[in-house]
Amino acid sequence: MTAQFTEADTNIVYSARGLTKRYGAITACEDVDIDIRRGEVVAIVGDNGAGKSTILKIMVGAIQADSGSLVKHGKEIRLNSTLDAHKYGIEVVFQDLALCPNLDVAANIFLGRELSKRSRWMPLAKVLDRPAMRQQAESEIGRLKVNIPAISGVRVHKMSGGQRQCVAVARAIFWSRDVLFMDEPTAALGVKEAGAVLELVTKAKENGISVVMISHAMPHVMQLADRVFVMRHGHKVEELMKEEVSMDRVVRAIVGD
Amino acid sequence: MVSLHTADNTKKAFYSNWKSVGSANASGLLAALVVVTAILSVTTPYFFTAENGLNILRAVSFIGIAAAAATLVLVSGGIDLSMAATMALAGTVTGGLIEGGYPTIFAVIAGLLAGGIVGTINAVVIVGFGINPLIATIGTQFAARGAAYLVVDSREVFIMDPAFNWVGQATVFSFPVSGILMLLVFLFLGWLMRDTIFGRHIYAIGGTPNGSSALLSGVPVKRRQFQVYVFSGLISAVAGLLLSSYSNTATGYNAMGLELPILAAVILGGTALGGGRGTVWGTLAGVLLVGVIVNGLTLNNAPIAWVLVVQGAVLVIAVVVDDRRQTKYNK
Repeated sequence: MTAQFTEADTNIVYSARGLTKRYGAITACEDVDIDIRRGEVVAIVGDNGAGKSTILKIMVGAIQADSGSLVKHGKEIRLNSTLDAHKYGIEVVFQDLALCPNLDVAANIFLGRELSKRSRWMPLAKVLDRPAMRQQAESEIGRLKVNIPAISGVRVHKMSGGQRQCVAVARAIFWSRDVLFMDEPTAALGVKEAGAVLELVTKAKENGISVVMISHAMPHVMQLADRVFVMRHGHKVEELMKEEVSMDRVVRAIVGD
Repeated sequence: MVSLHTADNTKKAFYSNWKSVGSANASGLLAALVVVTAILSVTTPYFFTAENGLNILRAVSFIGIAAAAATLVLVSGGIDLSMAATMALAGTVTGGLIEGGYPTIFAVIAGLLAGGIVGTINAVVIVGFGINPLIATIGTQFAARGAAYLVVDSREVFIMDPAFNWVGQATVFSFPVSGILMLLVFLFLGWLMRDTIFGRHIYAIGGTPNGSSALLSGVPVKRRQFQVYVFSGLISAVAGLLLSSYSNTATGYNAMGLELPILAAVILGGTALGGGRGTVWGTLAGVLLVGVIVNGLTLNNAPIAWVLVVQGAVLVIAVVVDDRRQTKYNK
């Protein structure tokens, strides 16, 4: 059985229709449809070069498709950058995390969206509202129960890989209104650190945020995903509901057996 | 798993971090300044006097202003080697116009505009065309230096305008106006880099190669980089006008070779050559150290060749210190 949804499904928050992207003679993805429903965790799996990252990048505005469309809450949208995606409540955690290692947690969470206030000394100028940013960051990190040394004063580069990953995910959850994309969220993490990240994914889901994750870590996919898309050679070859997912079936779909 | 930091923990972490990165550099610089001052005080009786202190402040004021702007450029991950040539161009444009009988204010605005134009050309080439800033600003350095000679027909213009020369030569309560101007520039840039969104973005852009993380986080990277280079040109022009005002002269030769002492002061002050780290206050300490060394050598009648040797050595030491600091920072 393959999962089927109709356009009328009101739970669908974000869709991709007929996405195709080519790099010269190479087709990265072709005619891919994806629907994401409110508050579900979707995993996109596939071998290297299957087109997973291309789909993610198109859906967060990092690259643009040659053809196809993106639909948010029933309306077609155009994303020219990840900034455009932010405006639609779509956040992403890239594999390299996109954190600034020389800034602290609060500064990273609010980077590009800083809170400001009127300067006491120069009334015409706006200055950073550090207390407000620190307070909000502290509240969010506390709510998500992320284990990090400090919100402000400690630069992110002083933190472990797992802590940085948690900061990147917490930042994305903080700003995400609808959909959170994650590229290999547990790659290169130890068991304990990966567990912390997966816990955050669960919390995002509990908050009504849809999570789309690309992952090679099949146990994590099995543990969290409500649906699994399997990509092969740029095509979506299988779409499985949670109860249909088994390691054997997913691996067979990935290798085309 | 959860351990959230209390406010106390946050404070502790902040201070420990400050201690490990900031004050290690500040105390090192302070120690160097004390040692150099002690040695020079012994070698010449003219060094350790209030008058000489104010002389040093006046002499470093134009380098200091340029170094403050260079801090901004380096923190953003860029570099501007055209600053000294821009200083000369601003001076000759203003000096030439004053000599031609134009009102002082008009001449000063034209000099500042000349700096702004060089900065804008740098910005277009580096940000617009994606050219390496080192190469781009070496090019504009030659072009600006050539233009500085051209606008005064390669002559040395003597500026006889009391209002213009007042800024570089006058004192207020024995304190040089040029030094006050330098401190005002440092205060403004310190505020800009620490307290504004612009400053936060500059640090973020310098934090990763090509500002990649800042870009993905929504920082308008190209716009900020453009602003930094235009700003650098403008502030270099201010420094150039101050130099002309201080020396009464405008010539294409002004500020020749000052790029490297400026960079040395900035790097000595703790700004990372690779970007993302540094403050104008560290730069001020670096500027004072370089100024004290040059002043001490002059008072000890050292030949100019030795001043150059020492300046070169300071630059090499600064780069080595920066490398060690970066290694420690990355650990």
